Amino acid sequence: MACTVTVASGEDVASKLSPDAVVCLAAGVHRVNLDLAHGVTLRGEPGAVLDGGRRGPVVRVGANGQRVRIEGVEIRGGSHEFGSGVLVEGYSDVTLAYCTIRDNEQGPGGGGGLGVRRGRVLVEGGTLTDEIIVTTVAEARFSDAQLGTLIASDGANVAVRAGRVDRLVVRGTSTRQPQVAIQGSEIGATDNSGQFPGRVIVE
Amino acid sequence: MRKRRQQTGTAVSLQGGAAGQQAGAGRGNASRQSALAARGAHPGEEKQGDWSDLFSWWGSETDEEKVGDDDFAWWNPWTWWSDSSDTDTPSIDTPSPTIDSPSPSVDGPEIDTPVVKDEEVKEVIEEVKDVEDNVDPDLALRPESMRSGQYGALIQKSGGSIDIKESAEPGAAVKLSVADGTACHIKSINGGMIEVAFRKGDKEETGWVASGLFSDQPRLFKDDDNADLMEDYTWTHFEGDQSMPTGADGRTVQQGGLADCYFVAAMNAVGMANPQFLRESIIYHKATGMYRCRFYEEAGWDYQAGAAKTREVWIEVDGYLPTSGSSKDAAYADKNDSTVWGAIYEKAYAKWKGGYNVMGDGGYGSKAMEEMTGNPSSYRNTSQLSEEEVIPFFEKAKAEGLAIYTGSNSTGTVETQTPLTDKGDGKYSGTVKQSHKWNHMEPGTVRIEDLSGVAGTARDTGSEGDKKSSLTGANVTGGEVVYKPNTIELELAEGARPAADQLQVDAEFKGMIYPEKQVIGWHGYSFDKVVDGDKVQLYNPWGSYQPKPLTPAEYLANYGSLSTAQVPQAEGEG
Repeated sequence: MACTVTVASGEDVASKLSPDAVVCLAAGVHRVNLDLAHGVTLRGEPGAVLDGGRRGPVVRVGANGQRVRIEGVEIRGGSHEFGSGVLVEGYSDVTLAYCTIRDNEQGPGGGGGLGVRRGRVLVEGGTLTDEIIVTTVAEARFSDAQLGTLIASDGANVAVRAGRVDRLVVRGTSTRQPQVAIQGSEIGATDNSGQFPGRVIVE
Repeated sequence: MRKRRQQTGTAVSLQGGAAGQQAGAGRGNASRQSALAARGAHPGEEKQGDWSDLFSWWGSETDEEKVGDDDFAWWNPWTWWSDSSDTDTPSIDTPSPTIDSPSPSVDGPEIDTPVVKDEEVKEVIEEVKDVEDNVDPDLALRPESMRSGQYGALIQKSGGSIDIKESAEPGAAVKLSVADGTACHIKSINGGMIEVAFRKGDKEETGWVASGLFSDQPRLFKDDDNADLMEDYTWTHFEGDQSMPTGADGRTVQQGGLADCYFVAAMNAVGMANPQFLRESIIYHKATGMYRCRFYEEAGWDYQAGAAKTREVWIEVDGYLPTSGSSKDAAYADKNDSTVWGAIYEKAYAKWKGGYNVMGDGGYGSKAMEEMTGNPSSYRNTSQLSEEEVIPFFEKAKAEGLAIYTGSNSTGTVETQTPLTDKGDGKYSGTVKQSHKWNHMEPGTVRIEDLSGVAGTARDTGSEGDKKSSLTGANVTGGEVVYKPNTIELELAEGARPAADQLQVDAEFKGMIYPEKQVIGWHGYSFDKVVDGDKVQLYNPWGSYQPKPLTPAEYLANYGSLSTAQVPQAEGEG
């Protein structure tokens, strides 16, 4: 889909985010702490960076029933208790396509790169160096992505296809357990040794 | 989120898998095949059919089944191994037995009992019975069943010490003795005897005890110096009714030696907004001495109601709490008044989540409030608030009876100093002065600027978690930064060696990020009240080091997250 608006580095991104807009981000650093209330596509030109300036999550999706797509950007400089880079805590669909997520601060709740506790997230390609947590009732699919530490906890549903996970941590609670399916992915190490293990299937 | 005495840990550390005896591995494979067959897939087809389905729920822009505003149809790709078609969990790579039911208690693996003579059997029965007579079922929570890998403690009625045997055989020699209340986990089960692993000094020991001595307790937090060991705490019984007394509010609990300020601050917040509701979340049963604690678990989206679904979760715990050394104070959350209700509630949460080691490494206050109230938290990034909006926001939230939680930023104001001295030969060294004794430089933020312009800029190469790192720059030939003591060693190339007082150092700091008002970084707080009509008074879950009243500007400069949650009406209220 063609861009409905293009934002140059230094311009206010938030003001351009009309519902279902396709916002193209020019190369350069865009200082943002986006709290997305509706569906939108953010498409980065090569060299586009979303930098949170350590003032909260870089991108937060807290709304319900929305579809958000972020593609081709570097996401860095987030700082939050949970989900510093990208935080998904609404029942929405979020796609991160060919993004690099790194250099976000690891908060006390973890998930420095990506924290998902509701909704569905699809990660296609890209490199997520910072920690990822998928928890509570969230669902996540990772396809052809390079991941650092991936934690699936509580009642999360996770599938990983191809790509790599440096470290997979799985832990349930006394009331439910996460489910993780791996196909064709390189897994550096797996820790499913907690008091309440999760379900892990590796093909 | 800081413990009271130590820095927080970060991500989960990789631990060796429990040496569990998994009797079901073979059954797991076979049952997975049956699950696939139930779905209609054949073993040879699973690679194609399964994965396209797992990802087909993601529509494209041209997908006609695009989500509409009113119909948010979730597709569950996991129905092909749902419990309805699968009686045995397909857990091929699970190193320890998986759990099919919500209860964590799963019968341990069956092991053939060796053939023994009648008199030996009688001796074992008498030995077990003798131990069971010393077990007080009214005080310690005994599991309905046991499994290898299960954490707990060895507790007997008579107190004193507990003999650990060399083997499960009748008449086995005593290997050593441990204190009553010693934390342990089960390694294997043999009839009425269990092999347990426990900490003795600075190492782990194993041995056998009667299974009746085992009590269901959450795993303790890991030892800071040896992550393979649990902290050296003992489980001690706190007598009588320790539930939240009338007149107490959320502030009568304080954080202890666990990095769970997010949880304690959430207790403070919920308990200040509606103490009766929190009081009703901790029920003491005098007849058994047990407590039942209420939490809420999010269960997905209700399309009819257009809201998230939650369900109540009741966790049962006894009155035993971890204590340190000879002190009988609770090691983790402790009382700030007359009872240890907060420690009981914290223990129940730890049990629910899988141990103190899981909940005690940091968390998310907004989520903790949801788990205590069953209501979604409303989030605000403080960068979206203006100074003029701060006081009205808090006043309105307070008037509405909301629980209010706020988290401080991770680092404080960048400091600029010229602390280096010239050691000759292009070498400089010094210590960056801290604004507070707790503070240390943040890896990746150290910058040394030559004001004369000769040497350029040097930067540290560290990243989060590093204890030290090297320096880099156009004229840097060596050097090191050690973060906690805040020391810098710098080496510059010949011809690029300015006077030491030209080398300006700045860095971000963690710790007490705003010493003037005692604001601690990466810490959870609850909101108490507005003071003087124009300042924000927050409450520190430590029960001490309360921040001084903050102006709106100070609040916005030092706090990044803000959440509120509606606390349900208590049953005891009108």
